[in-house]
Amino acid sequence: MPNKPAELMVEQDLKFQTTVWKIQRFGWIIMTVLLAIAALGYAGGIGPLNKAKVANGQVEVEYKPYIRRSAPTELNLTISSEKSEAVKVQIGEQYLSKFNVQDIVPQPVSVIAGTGQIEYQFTKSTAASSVDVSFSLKAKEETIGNIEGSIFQSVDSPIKFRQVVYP
Amino acid sequence: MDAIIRALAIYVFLLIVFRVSGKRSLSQITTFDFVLLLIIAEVTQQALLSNDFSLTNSFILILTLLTIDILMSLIKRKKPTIAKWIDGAPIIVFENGKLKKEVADKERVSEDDILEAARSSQGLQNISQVKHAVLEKSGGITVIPR
Repeated sequence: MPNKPAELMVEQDLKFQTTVWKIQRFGWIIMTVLLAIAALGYAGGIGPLNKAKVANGQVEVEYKPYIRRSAPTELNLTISSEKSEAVKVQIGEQYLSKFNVQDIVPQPVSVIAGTGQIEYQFTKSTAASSVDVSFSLKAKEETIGNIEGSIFQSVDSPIKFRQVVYP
Repeated sequence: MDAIIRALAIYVFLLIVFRVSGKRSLSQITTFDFVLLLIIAEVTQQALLSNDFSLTNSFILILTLLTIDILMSLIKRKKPTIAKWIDGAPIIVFENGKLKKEVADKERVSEDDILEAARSSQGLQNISQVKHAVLEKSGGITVIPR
């Protein structure tokens, strides 16, 4: 205990304190870096890097790669169909089972449960070349970690995408 | 099980963050610091409870937090070095009527803070009446008058 007035009973340790200060300064840098990462969107929520698009033929999927458990998220699909009024899309059952589907806009005309996938059918006006569908999802309590989504129309090969669910 | 993990994660996270932010952070020096502390408490509470507001969940959380705290106190009693790392140690910031500038700067303590502590705890009017000042583990400043 150097540099201490003799009458003062304080367990001062300057060497230890210097180490603590160094660790604290390093900790502040780490905290700032973590905040920057979160601001970019890597920790879920809104951020410039937390949006992604995948497309395959007639379906385009817009999703957030990083989401948080119990927090709402959206899956936006743009389904193109030149000919018919009815458009169909199938979503992997395994993916949907990890979420609570809060809302679908526009509402599907029919929902058919298939083997490993759920088929949603929507109607569109003949003038429109595509229909935008928005799924409001909420990751279930037990959903944590990497999950894979698959969306496909009957003829096309599936669109695969990955999401990370933070606790 | 998830409640225990949540409580444990929050305990460890708060311990690290408060230790890294330093003694002077949130030691209730201003009204705003106090408000900030209340906001942190509110945010923590929501993360702890998640969507489960049941009595069982709150009992498990309280039991977990208190058990960790008892365990920590036992460890700290046995191992003073660990106690020092977790709780920190007091440090003299004002010695024999002079501010220890390097220490004060590192700990973010100003002469005004010492004077404020001198007024509130000892009723002193002037910095010249202060002999020593110690920044305690709690983040508070103890003043020893001349």
